Amino acid sequence: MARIEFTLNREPVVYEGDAARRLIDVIRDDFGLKGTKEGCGEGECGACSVLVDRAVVPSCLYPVANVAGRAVVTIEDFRNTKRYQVLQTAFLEEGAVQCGFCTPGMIIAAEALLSKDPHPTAEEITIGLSGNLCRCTGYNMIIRAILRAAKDGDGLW
Amino acid sequence: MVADRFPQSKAEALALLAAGGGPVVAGGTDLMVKRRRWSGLAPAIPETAVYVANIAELSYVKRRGSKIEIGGATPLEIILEHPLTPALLRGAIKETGSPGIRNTATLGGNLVNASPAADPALALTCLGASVRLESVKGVREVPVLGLSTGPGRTILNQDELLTAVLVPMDDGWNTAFVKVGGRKADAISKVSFASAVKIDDGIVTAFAVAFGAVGPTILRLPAIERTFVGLSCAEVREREKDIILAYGDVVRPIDDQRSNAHYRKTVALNLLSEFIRSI
Amino acid sequence: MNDISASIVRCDAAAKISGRAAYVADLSIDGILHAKTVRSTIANGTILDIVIPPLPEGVVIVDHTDIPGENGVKIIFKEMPVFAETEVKYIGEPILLVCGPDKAVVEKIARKIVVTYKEEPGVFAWTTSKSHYAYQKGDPDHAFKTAARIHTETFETGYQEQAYIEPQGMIGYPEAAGKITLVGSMQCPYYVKNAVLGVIACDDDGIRVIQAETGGAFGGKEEFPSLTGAQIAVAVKKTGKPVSLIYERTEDVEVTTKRHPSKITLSAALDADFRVIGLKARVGLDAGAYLGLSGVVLSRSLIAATGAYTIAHLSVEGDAYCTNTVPTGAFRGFGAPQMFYAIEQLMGHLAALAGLDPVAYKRRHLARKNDLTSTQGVFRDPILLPAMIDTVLQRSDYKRKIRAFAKDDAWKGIGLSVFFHGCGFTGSGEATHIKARVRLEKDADDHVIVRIAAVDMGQGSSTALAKIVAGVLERPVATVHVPHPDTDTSPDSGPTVASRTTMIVGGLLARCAANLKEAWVDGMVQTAEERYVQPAFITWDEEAFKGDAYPAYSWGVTAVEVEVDKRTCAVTLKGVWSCYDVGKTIDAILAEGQADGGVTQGIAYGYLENMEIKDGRLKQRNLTDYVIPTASDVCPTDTVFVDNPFAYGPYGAKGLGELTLIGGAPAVTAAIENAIKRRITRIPATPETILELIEHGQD
Ligand SMILES: Cc1cc2nc3c(=O)[nH]c(=O)nc-3n(C[C@H](O)[C@H](O)[C@H](O)COP(=O)(O)OP(=O)(O)OC[C@H]3O[C@@H](n4cnc5c(N)ncnc54)[C@H](O)[C@@H]3O)c2cc1C
Ligand code: FES
Ligand code: FES
Repeated sequence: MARIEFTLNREPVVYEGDAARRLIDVIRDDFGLKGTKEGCGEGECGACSVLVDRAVVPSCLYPVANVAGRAVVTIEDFRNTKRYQVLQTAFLEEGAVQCGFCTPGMIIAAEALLSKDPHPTAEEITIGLSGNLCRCTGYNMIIRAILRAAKDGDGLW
Repeated sequence: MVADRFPQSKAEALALLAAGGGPVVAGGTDLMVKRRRWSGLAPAIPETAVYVANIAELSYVKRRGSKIEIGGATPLEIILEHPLTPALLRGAIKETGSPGIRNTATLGGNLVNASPAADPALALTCLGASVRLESVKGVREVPVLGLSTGPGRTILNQDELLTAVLVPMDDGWNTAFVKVGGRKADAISKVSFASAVKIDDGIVTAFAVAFGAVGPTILRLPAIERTFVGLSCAEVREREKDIILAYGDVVRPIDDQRSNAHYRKTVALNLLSEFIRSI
Repeated sequence: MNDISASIVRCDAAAKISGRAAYVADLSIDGILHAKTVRSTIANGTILDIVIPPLPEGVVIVDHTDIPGENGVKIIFKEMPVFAETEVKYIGEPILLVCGPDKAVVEKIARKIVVTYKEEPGVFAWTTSKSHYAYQKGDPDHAFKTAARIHTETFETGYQEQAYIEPQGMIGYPEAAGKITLVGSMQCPYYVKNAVLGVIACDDDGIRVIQAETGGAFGGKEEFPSLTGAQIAVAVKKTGKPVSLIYERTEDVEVTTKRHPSKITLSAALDADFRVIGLKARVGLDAGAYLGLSGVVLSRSLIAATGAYTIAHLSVEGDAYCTNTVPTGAFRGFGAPQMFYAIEQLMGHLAALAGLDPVAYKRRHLARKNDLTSTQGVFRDPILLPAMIDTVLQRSDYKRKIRAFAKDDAWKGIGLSVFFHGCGFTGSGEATHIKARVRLEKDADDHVIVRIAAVDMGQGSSTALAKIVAGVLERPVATVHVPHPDTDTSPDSGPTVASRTTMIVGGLLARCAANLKEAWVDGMVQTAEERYVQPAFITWDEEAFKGDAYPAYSWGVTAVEVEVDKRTCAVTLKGVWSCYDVGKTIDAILAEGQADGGVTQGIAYGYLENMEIKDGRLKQRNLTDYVIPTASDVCPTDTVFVDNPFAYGPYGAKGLGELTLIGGAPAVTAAIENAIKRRITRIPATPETILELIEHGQD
């Protein structure tokens, strides 16, 4: 049994249990935050993306031990921000959502990308999203949405 | 108890290993997948695991004499963004996984995971990097070439931690990294190729090539390489055919779910040819 | 309302973006049991013995002996067992479920169960035909006898995995009076319900099926959920508890249905002018261990034999073969992608034989209005292909590029495909099998609820259908609601397949809405229902494969430009241009999304996505090894929709969802051929294949 303290969506939390558990299971099963999805469990699809100290990581292969002392943010908290609003509007307007299973992960990856580079080119966006698979859209509408968010949200990132 | 489980320093980690702890878990991008169980269940990693990703002391990039020293548990993304990082290593990391993987995966993990398809490890092999292996008993520095003895196997002892990677600076070198994966991003290499040459006044003064995913370990052959040192560029180019023949004998890839032996070998040698012609 | 095509924000998007939308794995029920499937590890044989370790309290084994009704999943036939009894026919065939409250315990028990088999050699060759069709048109024998020359080629296509990002999942729970409710990721709630009714042997109201938010399907959740639904219903029946069966990726890739591998031999009889006067087609599909939908997939392949061309004399036959491999099934395009790949390649090769540009050659053969279809039905509506080809040629700068690439030493190429998709069920399926019904319910606040069985699996149907209903009613879209189907409240408007939802279900809803509008009284609770009536002009003889196979056809033209790396044979997409005739788009952005996603899948089918099988075991079993495109693999697309309203479709709409995939593979292969100057007869054209062609291939 390990005891791990970290902040989850800006709240300090304490986890007690197996240190090797996957962060995704802790988030979804222990904390009931179901916005983070499991698409592959092997780091390939990015549906499970969360922010750890503001960087995007696949929570399906992230041992909970490694979040000790760090700040984890999931879609449930990020959706309360202005940045999220801008991203959501852009995703809605550009038709970047179909089945939606990849979408929360895409939003998290987009946030991580824009916080590093507030004005990415389309090519930089494809690199930023290369760990997030979408089978429905063919990506172009997602890329356009992020370009639009960067423009509409100028100054936010 | 907590301090036992989560070492805060290198010394604590080494002590845990000395006491029979293990395995080392760094980013977990290899280990968590290899040991995964049914989703919802913790991967099969025992309580004795030694988690090193949060040891600040093992995460850095700095200059040390004529070398760049990188902490064993430094995430790839930090290395990618660091101005001191040699271009060849940067090129390889850029094509490793995805941003999420690079934020999580460490350089030490990439080396100790000992995959013949590993990209950062290929660059390090080509650059003649070495690693520092430490245990409570002492420190040894060994070349990256030779660290791995086969897929997933290394010369590390159970109680050893890879604490640092020492990379010669590649200023004045011409380097190139080519990764051939199943797609343009986030792919495991089917074949990969790294090259580094140094040319002074039209004479080759250093020459290194390394191949990934063409055998049980990353392939680099210093004995062949040495025969080019001291030759003029034109002489090296003239020997293209012989060089291809020489490497053709030792590049012996396999068929698997990602590619086939013939393709791997042909492409590896194509990349070598291209490099020779560019000298 | 203004132009129906003017796009609105899709109604489910905000919930999905914010993570609020609940997919099946997100539902939690107290006391739920987790089920793990124990599967055959051999491709063919009989089970001699199953040794089950002592079970801790609360852990239950569910197998064929627990089935109250028939041990067969109704797809078309009931040949596939819910759980294997003695015979096992493929690696991964389900034998039993271990169910329990604690996953760790369930996993341990599942691992400890020992199944011993008497193994038989697996049958992997295509020798056992379980579905055979043949038809003729004109006088093919005469055409081949009098031909100036005959050209024959064989084309092969591989597996394709749907790779929806949400894996399959189903949960079930008991309700009062023995009723069982199933909630899952699915395309066809009534397929699941009807399959389960026979397995549980209960009355029609004993089973309720609800679609959860569905994270992509592409055909992969058409028939497969009938199997998991049946298994879960048996488990709920036995345990009296809620049970959940959520697949992981590897399991999903290994055991769920995929696109049929095919082998298609085409012989063309040419006149002295190299015009195709006759065609013989011989199609083989690998159905896997159970036929499932393969017969229907085969028939769609066969009907597409002539591609988008009119060929006077035809002889077409095909078989779906059973082998000891994972069953194949529905996948966007449903047999058409294989056939269009083959015929488009053939036409390209014939053009080379004739010394003509492939596009010019294809133009000479294009189907026109009033021509007879392959099955001697009639293309009753205008066909706009010549103008659509012009559009694509011009926007892609095709003519200049193809000239420039011929001179260029670099391996650059461009290719163009022409294709159609028959909308709706084949033949009289709508009238004889489906008999769709829809209902609109208006409440006292004048909000209208659309009761249908069509699911939104990402394609945007709930938004499109809401627009249609709102448009006819001349009410705000926000007052029309399309809930997830629930078989207790939604009439059976048919499965969400065959590009039929907008055209058929939307058409019914438009008529239903018109009736409701007529009877409309503000503030009053009202309902309206509508049933499918086959347009009188459609005639189809199932036995003879004769008549109108489809009520309408959607058409497409796609051009793809590539560059092939000379060192690595890796293909880079440089441009994708498409023009589609789907009658009328119901929403411009939804349509563009379908176009982009479809063409990406279709192109990847042609050059990227590779799945091989050896001795019944798939080599690529997860998303690391089965590679699908990332954002870095695609390139910007250029898409044009032309209006060509279909009299029987709502606002003139025809089918859209599958069409966009079909042209991808033939266009990208033509482009690669153009780049490497070699003939491709097998897809995917992976770098390994391209290298082989460079070394040994034919010009
Ligand atoms: C989706 C995905 C994509 C990937 N793509 C690529 C790619 O393109 N190229 C590539 O090269 N790799 C790729 N990888 C593999 C992986 O990310 C790298 O090998 C990574 O660098 C491993 O580092 P880690 O810290 O995550 O290692 P871990 O998984 O933590 O450990 C790996 C092994 O090394 C040991 N170990 C770790 N650190 C130390 C240490 N300091 N001392 C001693 N032993 C140690 C562990 O015990 C374990 O055996 C990918 C992985 C995934 C999941
Ligand atoms: S579920 Fe984590 S990357 Fe796919
Ligand atoms: S919207 Fe379905 S996977 Fe991206």
